[in-house]
Amino acid sequence: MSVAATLLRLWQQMILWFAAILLVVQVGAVAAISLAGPVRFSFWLVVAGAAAKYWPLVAGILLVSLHLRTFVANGVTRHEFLRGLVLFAAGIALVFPAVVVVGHAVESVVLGLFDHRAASYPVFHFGEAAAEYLHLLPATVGFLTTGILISAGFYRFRPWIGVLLIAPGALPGLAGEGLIEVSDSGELIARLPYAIALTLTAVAVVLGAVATHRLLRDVAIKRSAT
Amino acid sequence: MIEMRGVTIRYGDTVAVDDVSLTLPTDKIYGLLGRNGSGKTSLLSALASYRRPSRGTVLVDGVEAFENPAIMRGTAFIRDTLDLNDSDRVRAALDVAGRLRPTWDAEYAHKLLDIFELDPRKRISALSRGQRSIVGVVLGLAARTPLTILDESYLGMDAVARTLFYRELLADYLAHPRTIIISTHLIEEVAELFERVVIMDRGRVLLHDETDALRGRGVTVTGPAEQVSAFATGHTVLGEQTLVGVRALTLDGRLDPDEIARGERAGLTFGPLGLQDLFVHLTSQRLEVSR
Repeated sequence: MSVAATLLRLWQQMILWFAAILLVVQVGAVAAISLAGPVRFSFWLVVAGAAAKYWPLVAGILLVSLHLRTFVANGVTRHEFLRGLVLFAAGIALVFPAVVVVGHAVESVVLGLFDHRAASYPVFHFGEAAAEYLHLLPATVGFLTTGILISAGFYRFRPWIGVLLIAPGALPGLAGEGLIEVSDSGELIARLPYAIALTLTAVAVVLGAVATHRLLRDVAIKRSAT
Repeated sequence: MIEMRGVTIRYGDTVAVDDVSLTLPTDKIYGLLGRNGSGKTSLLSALASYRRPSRGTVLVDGVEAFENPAIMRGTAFIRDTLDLNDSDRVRAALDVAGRLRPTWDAEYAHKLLDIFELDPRKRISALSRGQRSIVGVVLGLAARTPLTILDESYLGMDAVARTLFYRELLADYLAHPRTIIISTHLIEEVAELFERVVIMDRGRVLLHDETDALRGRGVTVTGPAEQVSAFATGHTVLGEQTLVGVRALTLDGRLDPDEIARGERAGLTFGPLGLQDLFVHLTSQRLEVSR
């Protein structure tokens, strides 16, 4: 079985648990907020929007620290692992923002049905779904790249060198979040013209991917996770 | 054929493996012996592509091994620390091996778990030292890879588990011949398994030969202490054990048949050289100096 399929199998349970917790918190919180009157903000965009950045960051860290050693120990080359990692990470990066957009749509429609949307609530418009997705995607990809890169730095070098590498390693995530985002109120923000902001983020992500490859392509397999 | 050509491994200023060249014919059981810090694990790490040598290459059937998918797929390297996450359950570790290793024998893996009485539902973190070693042995044997490397895989195992391990290893090797390299400090206990022995010291290979040839390099003489001492006069003594008037000396070199016959008439018995005695003799110069 391929590396990406095996990673999916290993992460399946964790992803399902995370999704379940997110759903329970969402339903419980929105129901509680609704009791006080019409909802003025998108709880889903606040919680799932943040999760779309920070969960990939954590996932990126764990993917290298938990799995590189175990996959190589099972006869997988570092390059095969990296290729599988890219596929799996691409899956996360593409699906997570889509889940946020779909969740926002569901929340908006349900609150609309019960007439619980305040005037300030960021109503979901199907025509803006693609734009919302494309404003979430760069941060997800950036933070995922950052997690993988920082973890690769710690894996390859001594801890104090890993700490020094956190700053450059954070660039893809910071670029993705800093240049393009969806605010808690649902506003689509691009701090530079979107195409330029997206290009800069893409460059940071590609550089991060190249750096990760250079760090891990011939790294010694350690006895511990880092 | 597995070849190491001029392999050197450095950790900063420390040279762990120093310009080792070694040719290992396949489908044999090797014993890799060496004192602590002699470079055994570093050498095995290079062999298993866990570490790229600072200099030199490892070839398998003439092809460079490092990052070669076919060769890495055919290599199982079981380290004493186990390359598993503590939070994993045993069955999850076996499941991953089954997914990634084309030669994995799941049925045999479960048979081994039964033999060693290990619960696959347990988490790695909940296992004792010996049980962790058993997981390593299961992963190594059930992988059925053409090259299987077991680095001190017996750590923490009790005598029963070790005996089962040796028995299973030999049975599975006979049923599925492959190259197995065992790094160990329990030399006499495992010596019967070895077809060839490699002895390392301070990063270099001191000796590599057939086990039988090594055993023929000397003899063990046992009998009344005075007769044994008298007989040993003029021979190099590699090892010595004395118990209540009975002495066993390990002598270097071959004895001629007349000499043996003379010894037997004096009540002495002769046996093959113990690998451990040879190993201690070859690697204990500092010990000798300190006496």
